[in-house]
Amino acid sequence: MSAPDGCAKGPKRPAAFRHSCTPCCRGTAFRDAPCGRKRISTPAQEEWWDLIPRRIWRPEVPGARAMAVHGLFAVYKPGGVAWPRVRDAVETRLLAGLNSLEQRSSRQHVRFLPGFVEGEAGKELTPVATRLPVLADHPLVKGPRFTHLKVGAGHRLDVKSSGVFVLGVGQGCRLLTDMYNAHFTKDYTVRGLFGKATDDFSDTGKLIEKTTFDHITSEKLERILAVIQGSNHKALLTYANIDLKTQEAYELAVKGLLRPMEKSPPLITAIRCLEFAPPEFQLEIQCLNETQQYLRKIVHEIGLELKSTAVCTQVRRTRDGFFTLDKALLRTHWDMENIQKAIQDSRLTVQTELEKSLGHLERTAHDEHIEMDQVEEGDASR
Amino acid sequence: MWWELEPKLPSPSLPYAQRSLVVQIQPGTQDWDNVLPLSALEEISKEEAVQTVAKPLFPFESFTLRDYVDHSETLTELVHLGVDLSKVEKLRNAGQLLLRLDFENDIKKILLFLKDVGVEDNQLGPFLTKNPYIFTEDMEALETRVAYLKSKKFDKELIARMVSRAPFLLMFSVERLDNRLGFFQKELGLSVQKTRNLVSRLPRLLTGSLEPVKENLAVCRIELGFRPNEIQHIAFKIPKILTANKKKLTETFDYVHNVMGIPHHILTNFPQVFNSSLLKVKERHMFLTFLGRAQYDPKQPSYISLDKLVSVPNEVFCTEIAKASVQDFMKFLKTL
Repeated sequence: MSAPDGCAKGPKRPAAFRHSCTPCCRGTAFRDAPCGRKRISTPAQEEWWDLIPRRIWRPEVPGARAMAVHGLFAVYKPGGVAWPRVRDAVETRLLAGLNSLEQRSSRQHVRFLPGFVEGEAGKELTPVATRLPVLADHPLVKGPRFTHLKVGAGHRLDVKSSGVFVLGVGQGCRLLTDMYNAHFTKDYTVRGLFGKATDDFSDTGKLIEKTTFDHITSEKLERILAVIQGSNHKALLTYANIDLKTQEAYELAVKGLLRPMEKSPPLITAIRCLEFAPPEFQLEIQCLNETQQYLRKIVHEIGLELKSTAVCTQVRRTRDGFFTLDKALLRTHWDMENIQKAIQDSRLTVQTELEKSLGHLERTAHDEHIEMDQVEEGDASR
Repeated sequence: MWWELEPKLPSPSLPYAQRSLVVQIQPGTQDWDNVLPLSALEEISKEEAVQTVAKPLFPFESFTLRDYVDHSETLTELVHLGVDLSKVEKLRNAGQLLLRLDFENDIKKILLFLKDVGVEDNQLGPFLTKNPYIFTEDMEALETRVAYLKSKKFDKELIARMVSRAPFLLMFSVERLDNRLGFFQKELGLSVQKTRNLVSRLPRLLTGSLEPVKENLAVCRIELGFRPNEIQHIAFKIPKILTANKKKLTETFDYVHNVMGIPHHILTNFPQVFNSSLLKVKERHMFLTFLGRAQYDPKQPSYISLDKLVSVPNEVFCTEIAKASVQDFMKFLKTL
């Protein structure tokens, strides 16, 4: 089981001594920086609390961790845009929102500036102690507080498809791995068109052949869909790796949690026809471990089974696990308040659903352990 | 502040490593051979000890201007002007340049010159953030260039606006500026006054490279199929099209012409479509098609002009053009 890629913006680099003074040095350590710069000194220490290591304590400051957002939320990815661009756009908007929050006020220091003081011979020009803000803390000198946020992507969508796209921010990226391991099913609505066949199974590809489709009726389509569902259901039970005659398998099946929890090929758990108006038709597919190209291939194969051809015009994800379409944020709502609200709203659901799915895995391991002990005791008492 | 950088006596309270051997300079003595360095163990009076300032020295080498801003008058004044040092230090050699310069001798002249040209006070900060290299330019060269622009009958306010919006404009020599103005006049076939208007609205045409502009004009002529007078009209109305991304331009045109079915002459009248993102155009067109209001022919009733389609914000689009609520539009977007 591999963790989803794109959990962080790139491969992990050592935390210390990174700098980005020029674009070519971005993220490199000082010793092998193209700019040849070496960091010799640290900025001036003005206050006694600067001597305390940063992670331990800082007075009066809402820490970066407290200010930043953490958690899982879903966005609606529009079609025609690659998923990294969506993720980058969300990160940029979050950064803009975070940097617009109130920043901590700058440190103060005492400087002796020329000033007029009442002396013996009238007004004299002497150094006068004045309290000035430290310019090194000025926002124009130190730059924005946040320059990078860890935004991870969940199950990806390819360029042509659209729909619910789960993203994790900050500490929420760990939950992405849990969501991946929980192997939730996903819901898609797939629109197809009878009568054409293209090389990449979609309507924008190179046309290979055209066929008639007058003989296709909705009963024939339903029959094909039932066959697909049946064969996929058998494969589902095989890959679930559980002996079907046990009580545990029955309980899981009753709860609807009977599905492969390890690596498996793409499986369709449910498929039905929503609309049938030849040449157009719309299917609802519930599947596991799939890719959008696989769904387009399914549409193509349905066309072949019906002794005609079909291409896929739209693949749209309506549900990813427990993130449904109404929870997904549209492009106009990709700002910090809406995202924070979405994270807050789905926090409880995320926790309970993940516990339900992954918790039973740990419980079965525990139960097996108990059974082994009982068997040993039984043998010993004989 | 000069008296803080004066040589100080080493304080006995400092750790040994931080004490520097400071040479005490008597005013008037030029005899460097006879001056002896102070010993670290020498006893000093209480008043002298109280006057010493135990500050760490500022670093010899650093990758950021944060370490120097409190010690350098130049940098302090620049920050008060509004220059964003965090961006300037990322430019090549700009940090080194600013540290080397002296505010009174070098920087003040250029700032006064810029104020003379007409750049406003609140624009000086962003200008210098983008182009700190203006301090390396010769005053005479800068004045010649401004005189050249005035000779080409650019108004003072126009020059001020152009210089604020394209900070690198005055770094170009007179021949280069002449070349560029001549190029735009010839290629687009515009009159002198129209070229002046075009360049003053998008001054970065004069500072950018000419190759992308030539390629964009070729794309408009060959791929998109516009006639030369149509290209002239579009470029004059939306100068950004000359520096736009070719791929985006062709994709937008492909959708607008082939899917929305808008002919060339209507596109020439409303080239604002090329300025907006394809996604926005697609979403709005599909919503209008869904409602049955996608009518772009001016001769038909309830016609929708293309510039209103793209330039208005979402709420105005929904209420006035699509005559539906914003929630309906959002629901529709989730079905695309």
